[in-house]
Amino acid sequence: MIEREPRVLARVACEELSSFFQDYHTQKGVTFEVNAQVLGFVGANGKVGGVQLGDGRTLPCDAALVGIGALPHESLARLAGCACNHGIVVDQATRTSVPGIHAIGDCTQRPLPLYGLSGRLESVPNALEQAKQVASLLCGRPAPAPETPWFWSDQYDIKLQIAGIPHHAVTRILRGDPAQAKFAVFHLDAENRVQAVEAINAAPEFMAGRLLVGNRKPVAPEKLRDTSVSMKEVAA
Amino acid sequence: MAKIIFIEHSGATHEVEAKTGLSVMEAAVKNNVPGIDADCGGACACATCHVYVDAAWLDKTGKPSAMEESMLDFAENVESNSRLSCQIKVSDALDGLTVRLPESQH
Repeated sequence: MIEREPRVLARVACEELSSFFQDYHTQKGVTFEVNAQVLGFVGANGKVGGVQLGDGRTLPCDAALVGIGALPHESLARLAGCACNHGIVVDQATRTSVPGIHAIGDCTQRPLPLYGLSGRLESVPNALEQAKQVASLLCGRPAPAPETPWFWSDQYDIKLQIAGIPHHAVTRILRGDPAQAKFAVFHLDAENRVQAVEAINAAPEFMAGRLLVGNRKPVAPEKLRDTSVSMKEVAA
Repeated sequence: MAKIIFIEHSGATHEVEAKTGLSVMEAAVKNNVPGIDADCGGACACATCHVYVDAAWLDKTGKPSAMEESMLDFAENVESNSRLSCQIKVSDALDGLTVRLPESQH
């Protein structure tokens, strides 16, 4: 696995999670190259034969899977006169700047009301939330309440669940044991409100954490750290 | 194949012919049965496919895994016969399975 950044998942997860996943995959036989720049591919007869790295090495391969991210496709929206800024700009109800045109999904630059910011969310839950918003609007129904952003990924027997985005977070609390592949990292703001939680095989931490991100209730960090205190109690 | 009966909170009933190997959730979603959201598509990651299994079917549907139980713990109005329907696999043995749906999944 060739990674441009110093660690995997740098864009979406904290260092504890990056280390956990790198270790786990390494145990399964994956080799990582981090801080690695890909210059191009080499091959012959229409088949790839290797990957050229910035440090001069060429790594031989029979196949290459390229997963380098996505850019929002704005051309149609721009042609229609919709304002775009790192995605098609929409409000919470999915309206673009052109009356009668809505946009939803990975391509939208949308409000993140929990954080007082806007951003692009590339996730199924985001697309579903926005779909429900525009469907309600078109059917003349009241707008659904804003949802807490969340994400998940299944890797081997690991279920990663993330709720929230660690904006304004100043403290990280580890709950559980990475060595047991069962833990969560909570990101708290200066008032001890959960801004985000990253959970590995820790469904209660994810579910309670997602509730806490949404209701903005402060938590006691020492209770969060203490696995003998249930998440229900922490969130009460 | 199995006939699955979904009873909405309102009492409205839907009978579905479900293929063996699908989950009960998939049988609902593919047949437009309202009341099962299944936001995560069956990954046991969201707890929005919550159903109540009729008493007569508890043995045949079996018990939830630890992961499913952890997720169920945070769903709304959970009862002793609650299950996440994405974790119940359709088989011939479940022909006639009856499940009731909660008032809402969120």
